[in-house]
Amino acid sequence: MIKVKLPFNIVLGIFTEILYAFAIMLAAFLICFLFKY
Amino acid sequence: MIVKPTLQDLKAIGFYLGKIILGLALTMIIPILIGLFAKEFNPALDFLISLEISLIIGLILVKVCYTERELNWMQGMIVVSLSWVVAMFLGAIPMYLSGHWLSYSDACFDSMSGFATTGLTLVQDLDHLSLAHNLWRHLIMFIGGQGIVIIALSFFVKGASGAFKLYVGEARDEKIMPNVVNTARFIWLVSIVYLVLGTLSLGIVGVLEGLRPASALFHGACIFMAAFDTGGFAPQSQNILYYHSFVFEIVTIVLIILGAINFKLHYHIWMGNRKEIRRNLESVTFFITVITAFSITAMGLAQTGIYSKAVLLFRKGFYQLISAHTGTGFQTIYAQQFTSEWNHLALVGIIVAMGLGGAVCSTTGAIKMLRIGIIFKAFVEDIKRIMLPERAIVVQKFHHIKEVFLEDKQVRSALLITLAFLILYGIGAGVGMFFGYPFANALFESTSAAANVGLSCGITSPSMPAGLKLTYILQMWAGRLEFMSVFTLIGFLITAVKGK
Amino acid sequence: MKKLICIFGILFLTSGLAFAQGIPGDELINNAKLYNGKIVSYKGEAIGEVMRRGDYAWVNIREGNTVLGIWLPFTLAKEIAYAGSYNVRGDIVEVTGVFNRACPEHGGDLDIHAQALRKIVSGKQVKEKLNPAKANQALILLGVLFLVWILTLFLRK
Repeated sequence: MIKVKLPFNIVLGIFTEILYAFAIMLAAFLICFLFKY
Repeated sequence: MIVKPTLQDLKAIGFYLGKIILGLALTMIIPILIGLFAKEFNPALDFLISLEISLIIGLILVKVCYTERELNWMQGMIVVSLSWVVAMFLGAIPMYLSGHWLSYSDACFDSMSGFATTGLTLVQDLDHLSLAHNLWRHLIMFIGGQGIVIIALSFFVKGASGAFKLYVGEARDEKIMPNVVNTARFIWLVSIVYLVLGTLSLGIVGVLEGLRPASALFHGACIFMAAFDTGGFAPQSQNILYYHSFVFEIVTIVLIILGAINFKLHYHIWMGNRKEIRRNLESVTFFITVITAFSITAMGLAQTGIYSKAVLLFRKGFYQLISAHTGTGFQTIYAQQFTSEWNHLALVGIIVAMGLGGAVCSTTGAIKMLRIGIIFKAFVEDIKRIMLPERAIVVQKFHHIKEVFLEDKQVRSALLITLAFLILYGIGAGVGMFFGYPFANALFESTSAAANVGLSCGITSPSMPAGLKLTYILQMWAGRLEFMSVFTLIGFLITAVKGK
Repeated sequence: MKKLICIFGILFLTSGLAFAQGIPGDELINNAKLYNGKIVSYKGEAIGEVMRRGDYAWVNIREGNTVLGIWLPFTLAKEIAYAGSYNVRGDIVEVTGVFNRACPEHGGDLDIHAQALRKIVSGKQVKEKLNPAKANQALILLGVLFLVWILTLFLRK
């Protein structure tokens, strides 16, 4: 069971980290819009 | 009483240095294979010659300095600091032989820049460099980002406690797993998984954006190594501007942010504790400092009016900023443009971002987020002490995997290293100004070198003064190793001269 | 006669405005504000590869130590047969088009939207000649390495 859980957690973990990166980019994009108005 | 180093000390240092040199030599096999495969025979010879020289030196050291003793702290620190110097000299040999660097010292500059994952470069005619040599430039970023010593730890070093001392000396003091050799192996796992994912993503985007499949894959692998290890070299002279691709830029942004995450955080998130990314002091601090620094840069750029739309502000302003903050150094503008198009306010955001860096135990350089977070928490604690009644007991905590009590010891350590970095940025700026460069440019380039970023405003060039070249090399070295092992080496040399 | 002189005079003056001589890349970057939006002529070696994007393409062109990105219709880009790399000397081409200091269409890139392309020198595949000095060095070092290795086998502590 643990063997299946491990890669599953890793995949979700990778998604979480990529989401974090996109969150930063989104916040930055919002600032760009802010400064263009 | 200052005691002179003993023969035992020299033997221990020489022996482990020899092992690391042997490990480094073996990595040169990869460019040889690429050279043979791509019918680049002269480059293959360049690497064969370098491989032979490295093996000769390594074998002699290992045999002459053979010892069965384990390393003590001082010896460990010195092995690390010397390894980096030796790696620079050996890594520069194939570069110099290629003829694409004007001198061996220029090659050493790029070699140190590669291993230290800085990204400042003195290469000539990069667009005509062989695949073998180009791969080497990026491979050393991968090796250096992982840690030259980590490589040795994974394969060569048998004694666990000696291994730990080397690990700490290379500015990785977070114990991810109980056994430091397992820690090194986990770091490799994360890197290899992302290597596959990253190279494929970049390769696919490359093909969609018009690259031939073979070159898309080659560029993908190289860019991945430079991105995840927050190095900043790229296979072409225009750096990331070469690709003229928004999607490509986005993928690199994701990769460099991933590279700026603490490997310990990678571990816990990959093991299931995904909430940690929202609560961890470093990931939260990073988010805040990125947004703050970018606000400053965006404000400055909006004043110049050069980027007329929001998306332009993002693709030029934010790209350079996140590249700075993660210590990568990818650029989508020409070096001169920092001076000719951007204003000082915009540069301030970049310089601050460069100076702060990413997480500890990641591939980035600079002061790093844990220290910034700790210092911030220390301020909060002191303010609490003043505001609360005198007899109240103030206890400050922060979250780093688990709840940790803020102790004076940690604050002291954070402040000292922060101070050391600030002084280093300042010294480099001073040397730059001594050679006639304006303050903003000198500070920019100095911070870029010492924080191992790699963004350049134009000072780094083959025509720059030799004294400045040497200064930046020393800054890259000291910054990457976070001072301690460098100071230990200096101390060792002083005792060798002055001691009894 | 006077009309002819007038016409030639006007042609001469307007051709000057179009910056007919190939402008160095450095010059364009350092004086981007001056050239922004103007028609310029830029000459250099095509490097890397032509990157097709639908009906258009990007090609990066190297002049001296500077490389600029050129955006052009694919019909023009097709003319480029060789793009420089390790063993390829790229076509030397001259492009004429609008210079952009921070192209709004291309994410703020400094680029040239080429309207015309002229191949000046054809590029070619360069055959690599093995460097005999290097081959000798490699052989000699191999000998030294072998020697050192034999010695280490004997000097067992």
